[in-house]
Parts: sequence; C-alpha cells; structure tokens
Amino acid sequence: MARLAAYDKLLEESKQAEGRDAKLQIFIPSGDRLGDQVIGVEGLNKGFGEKLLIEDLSFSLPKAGIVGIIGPNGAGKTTLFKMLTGQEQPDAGSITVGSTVQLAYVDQSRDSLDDTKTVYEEITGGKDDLVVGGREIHGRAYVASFNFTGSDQQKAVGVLSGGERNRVHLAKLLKEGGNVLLLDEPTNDLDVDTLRALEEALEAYAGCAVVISHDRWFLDRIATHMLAFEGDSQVRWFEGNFSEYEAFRKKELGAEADQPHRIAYKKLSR
Amino acid sequence: MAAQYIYSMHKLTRFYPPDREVLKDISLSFYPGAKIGVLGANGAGKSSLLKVMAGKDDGFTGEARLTPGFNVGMLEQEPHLDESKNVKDNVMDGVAEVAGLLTAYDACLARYADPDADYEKIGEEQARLEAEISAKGANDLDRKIEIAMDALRLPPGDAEVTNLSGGEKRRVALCRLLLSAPDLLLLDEPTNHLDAESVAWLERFLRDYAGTIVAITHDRYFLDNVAGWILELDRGRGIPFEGNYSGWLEQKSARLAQEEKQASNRQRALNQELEWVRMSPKARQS
Repeated sequence: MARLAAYDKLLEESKQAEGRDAKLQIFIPSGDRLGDQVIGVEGLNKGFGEKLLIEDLSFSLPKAGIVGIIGPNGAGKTTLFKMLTGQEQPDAGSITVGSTVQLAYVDQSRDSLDDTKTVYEEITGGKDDLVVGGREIHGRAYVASFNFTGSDQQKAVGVLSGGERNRVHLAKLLKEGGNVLLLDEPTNDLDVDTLRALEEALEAYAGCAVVISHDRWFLDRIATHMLAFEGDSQVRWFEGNFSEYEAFRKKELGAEADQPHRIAYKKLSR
Repeated sequence: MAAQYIYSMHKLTRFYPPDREVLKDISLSFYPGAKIGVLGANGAGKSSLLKVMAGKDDGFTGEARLTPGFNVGMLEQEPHLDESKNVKDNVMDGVAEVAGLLTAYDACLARYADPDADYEKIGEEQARLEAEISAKGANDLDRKIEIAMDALRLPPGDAEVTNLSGGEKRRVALCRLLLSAPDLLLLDEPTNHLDAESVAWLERFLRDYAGTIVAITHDRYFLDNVAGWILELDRGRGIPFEGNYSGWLEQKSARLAQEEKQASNRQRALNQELEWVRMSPKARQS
C-alpha cells in the first residue's frame, strides 16, 4: 500500500494541516517523528486462567502501517494492547518499544466521561491553550477538529449520541498526541458519516495505528496489515486488508472459511 | 394470491409530546422479499420506525399495517430472553413450531409399534407430516441450529442466560430470531457485538434469506452486497433509494453538490469514499 512508503510525506502534510481550519472532519494530531524501530514482538506467549490466549506471536509494526486486529470477543485482543502499553506482561517472549515511540491508547471505557461537563470542558479539561503533539493549539480549534463546531462544544456530554460520545472520548485521549495509536473498537456505535470521517482521519494520520475493529469496510479502506485471532491460540500477522485476508483464508481452508466457530484455546501448561 | 406489498404505511407520523416529531409523514410500501438497509444519524427516527413496523408501538397517526397472512419478528437493541431457560432452550423457542412437527413425526412413527394400529391412518399422518417438514425445511433442523449457534459464537447451550453479557444476550436473541424465519425480519443494528467473521456469515445468511428484511445498520458491506434499497431517514423524513450503498453514495454526492454550491467538507469525505469504492475490484466480497 502506498502509505507504507510515504511516512515523511504524511508527516509533512499533517504538520501543515494542524491548527488551521482543516479539510478533515476529524483530525488526529501526529506526535514527534517516529524512528524506524516502532514496536517489535518476538515469540510472545500469554495465558489467561486456564487458557492460552496467544502462542508464539511475532511481528514488527511498520512506521506508517495501519494494523487491523480482528477476532471473536474474549480472544485476547485487548490483552495484547495492555501488553503493548506495559499494563500487562507477556508470559514468554519479548516486546521491544523503539526509543522514539509515543503511545496513545484509546480504550473502550467511554463510560468514564463526565456527563455533567460540556464537550469543550471534557475534551480540553477547561484549558484554552493546549499543547498537542508538541505544538500549541487553541482548545476551541482542537475540539473543532473532532467535528464539534460552534454550539456543539457547549453541549453537555450527557445528552450526546453514542457516536458523539465516541468522538469526545477519542479527542480527549488523543490530546496528548502520539506517533503510535492503539484504538480499541473505535468503530462501535458510529454512524456511517462518522465512520467515513474516522477513516479519513486515520488515512491522513502520520504515524502507526493499531485498531481493533469488526467493521470490514473500515478495515478494507484503511488497513495495511491484519492481526487475526484465528482460534487455538494462534494469531496471524498478515500483510493486506480484511478482504485480502479473507481470500487468503478461503484458499487455506476452503469452504470451511465461510463457517465461523466458537473460539477454542489451547490449555495452558505452566 | 400473492400480495403486492408485505407492509405499507401512509402518512405515518409519530409524535411525542410536547414537541418531538420523530417520524414525519412517511408513506412507503414494502415489496415481499425486498432487502432494505436503513441509514440515518442518531435521533433520525430509525428505531422508532422499526418499532412501529414490529407492532410494538401503536401511538402513531396515519396508517401502518402488515398485510394479513404475514408474520413479523424484530431484533431490538436490548432484546429480552426467557430467563428461566438456558441458551439452547431460548434458541429453541425460535423454532418451536418446526420442532413440534419433528416431535409429532417421531410420535407418529412410534405408533407403528402398536399391534392394533391402523397402518393406513398412520401412513396418511406420516405423509402429511413429512410434506410439512419438508416444506418448512425442517429436515436438518439440528444441524441448522448448530451452524447458527456456532457462527454467531453463542455461549454453550447449557449456560444460564442470566449470567450473560449484553453482547452475548444479543447474539442469542439474533440466533433465535433468524431461525424463527419471520416473513418480515426487522433488525436494529444486528452487527453490534459480532466480530468481522460472524458479520460476514450473517451477511451471507441474509443474502439467501427468503423473506423481507429491513435492517438498521452501519455495516456498509451488508448495505452494498445485500440491500436492494437504502432508506435514509433524515430528521423524521424517509428518503427511499433503489440501489445498494455504492449507488446511494453516488446519488447522495450528486444531491449534495446541487444543494451546496461550494463543496462542503462532508461532501469531500463522501467523494473520497466514492473514489475508494470505484477503484476497488468489484468482487471485493464473494
């Protein structure tokens, strides 16, 4: 995919767009320049209770890559994120985080928003002057870059729709800026218009994004790679988008690929 | 006689006092077998429309009616399960009629063992039941149930439903509804809480579904590959479009271009997506 070779161009365009009335409906600030070493995972094993969630996983994140993570609920997708952020440790194997990496993690806990605050207060913390990704930007402009314009910024968080809450959550957590994004199901509850805006934002984002999502269209539009939790503790690193992965699975499994099964795990032998 | 429409509404308006009009003057008729995707922002009236169609809300004005002889089933955002039953038995509730036929068939066969039985009468009964079972496609019911439960990744059949998460409950309810195969299938966000592979399975299931489908969904592959119509709701008004999602994007972009002299950001975003649609191979999804 073209974007993999175009990190420098992305970064430059992204810097220019910041703070202006950008063309994008959602604008994700980029962090500092990312070096060639992003995150490397080598021979990783992780268990949960009696189950082996992940067995012998290795991959290396490319610096302009957008990696889609797919798999059934409970497969271990969020656990993988927690290991990348250091909140949890692998049982075996290593995770190497490059020295230039600034992680921005957007979890699923949208319930943690304060319903009594306005959109503006909740996102900015009430500060008019923000430093996002190392640059100063006015709070109003930053909130506007998540498509909350004018009076929308004064709405109480409690009255927002699911999609709007999702945008507040994204804006609030992306404020610190980062050059490696971890997004846990950002596409849930979004309407088609907002999905489209998020796709554009990620395409224009100068950095590496790892996104847990179930939305096939979204994954096809933006993903350069897939990490697929396939069952039996196997997680596959695949170069290509969702449809390409699907076609690959069909070749591998034949008609069986059309019939999903309940997820099974290997037993953990400690 | 084949009915022309399975459902029709005329000047349907749903008003919540004091001043919320969620559906405004909608007149639509639905062809049997049509597959319709419903699009619209939050609060545009999508769920309200489905509730009226499901017969769960009669507080509307105007006309809205299911053609007699057809039945309707709906997946709600927060569906109810029978808490006195486990997962499998909840699913079985969806196929009670067909399962009853199979039980009757077994009982019928058992009567042959009676030495005083009237074989001719039992034979007639057997033939009648066999015809009905075959007409309802109930021959391989157990297999169908197992496939659906597996594909939607339901909890184990013997699990109590009181302990399930919201997502698991929805998957059980969806499975029960799909197997009950109503003539008019109403789905409110069926892909929420399903992973990508289960969604792909659901898409194939719905593509082959014989009945009429009205689905509120943001799953653009469903809208593109299965839907023959897109019904857009905009602040309570219904704007039907015959075609799939790609076709709808085209006309929407053209419409916006007319409405707004200078290209808005929103239209530019639409165009970007259209560009992607146009450059992708037609057979992105088999």
